[in-house]
Amino acid sequence: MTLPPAPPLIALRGVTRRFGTVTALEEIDLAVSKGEVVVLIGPSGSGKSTLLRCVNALERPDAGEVLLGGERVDAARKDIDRLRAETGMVFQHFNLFPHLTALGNVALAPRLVRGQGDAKARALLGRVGLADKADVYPDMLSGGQKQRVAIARALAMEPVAMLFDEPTSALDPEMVGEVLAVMRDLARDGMTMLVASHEMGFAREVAHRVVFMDGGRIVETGTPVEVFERPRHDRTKAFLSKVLRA
Amino acid sequence: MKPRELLVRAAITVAAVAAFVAALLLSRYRFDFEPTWRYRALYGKGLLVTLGATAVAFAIGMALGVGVALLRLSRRLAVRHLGDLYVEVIRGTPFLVQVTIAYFGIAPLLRLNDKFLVGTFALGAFAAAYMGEIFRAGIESVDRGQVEAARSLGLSRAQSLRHVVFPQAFKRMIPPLTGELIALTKESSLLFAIGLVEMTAAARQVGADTYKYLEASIVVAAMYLTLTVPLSLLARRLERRLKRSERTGVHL
Repeated sequence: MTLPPAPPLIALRGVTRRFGTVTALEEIDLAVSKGEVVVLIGPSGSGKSTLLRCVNALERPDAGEVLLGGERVDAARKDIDRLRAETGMVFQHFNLFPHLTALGNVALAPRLVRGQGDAKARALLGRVGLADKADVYPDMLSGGQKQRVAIARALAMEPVAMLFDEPTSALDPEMVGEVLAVMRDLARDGMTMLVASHEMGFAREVAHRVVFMDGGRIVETGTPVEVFERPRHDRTKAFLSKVLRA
Repeated sequence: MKPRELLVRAAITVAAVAAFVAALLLSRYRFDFEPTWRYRALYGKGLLVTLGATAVAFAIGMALGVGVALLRLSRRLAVRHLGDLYVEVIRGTPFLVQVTIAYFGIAPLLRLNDKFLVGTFALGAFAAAYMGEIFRAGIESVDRGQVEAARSLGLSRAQSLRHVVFPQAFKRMIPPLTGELIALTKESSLLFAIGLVEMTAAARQVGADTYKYLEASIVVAAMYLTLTVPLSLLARRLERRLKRSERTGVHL
């Protein structure tokens, strides 16, 4: 797939993040265009999650900057809440609000922040195939259903980009498919997506670009064919041979 | 409660009361509750003062307690320390001393001399230190991911607290808060120190007037238990319901 050149929607410039003596991200440069699907792969602890969290201002870089639509993402700015709503975050462990129904989870932010009613939240639950679960509490949903509600919730503020932090890693194998199907639909609709994932099949099929990270650095980046078929770096080869054999 | 559990508990309770009564009878003390009965109006007044002081102090403790918890959870060291200081001072001194200082030291400065007002406020300020800790523990028990999810959706800090953290934290706080209410009911007896006639002070006065200290005290003990035992049963019920709801999604 080819994309017309466009200014990046998400841009990371020299982003570094340290936790004590551990460097989680080191001098990361990455640009994601509108409508692009970028999948981050790499071993655990390679910095994928931290990178995503920087885009959503859940982490603050020690150096460098994150730009979203040209605006600097910085937890200290006054309108950070508005900027955060521009990206929808999906977490590995769902982080659904247990005291609210599926509908309540999806409708909370639009209601509080924008004074909107429930109609759109209901439509979003329909979009992820859970219209009949609107009044059910998270405890009563399967892992796959929880993650689909979480995706609907993240879409509720009409974000310009979606961030997925290992969305299927906490799921039983038989539930991975239903979540990936929803994500595939989103990609097809032209949603800009930045996805940290161990699902190589999904990356190969849906990603415009695959980014391999290791030790807080981007080791190599390219189309799925380039990275999966002709990896240039030994570390990429070693990682792929491990995960693709499994 | 299961029928068997209820039976065991009832049997043990009756046996304990019977043993207590038997011990008193064996002491050959001649019980005479008649003078105590004559002072029933005084007990009644004391009951009202105890109930009123406890209820108002609990409400004040709730309001101030949330403040104390928020101070101690602040990102600013200076603010956090202010909260720590408050809790240390209140928890590190007896309430008897606090209420005396409040009545004889602080109240005159504010030109207050209403005993009930000053005593109740002191009791509320005392409760706030303990309730603040309950609130803080409740807030901290809510998973970090909850706030992250809320903030990632564009909710402000205050909105996240109000709509995501508090509803979850509050459920977990109900049992310890009930415990605090029970403790306050008894703690309010120390308001006698500033001359407030609540239940315990009433009993002491009855004892002093009639020389029936034992009878007067037994009566007031029974009154306290009538107030605290239902609360304690309620707390246990809520706790059980809470445990169930965290597993299966039954909501309080």
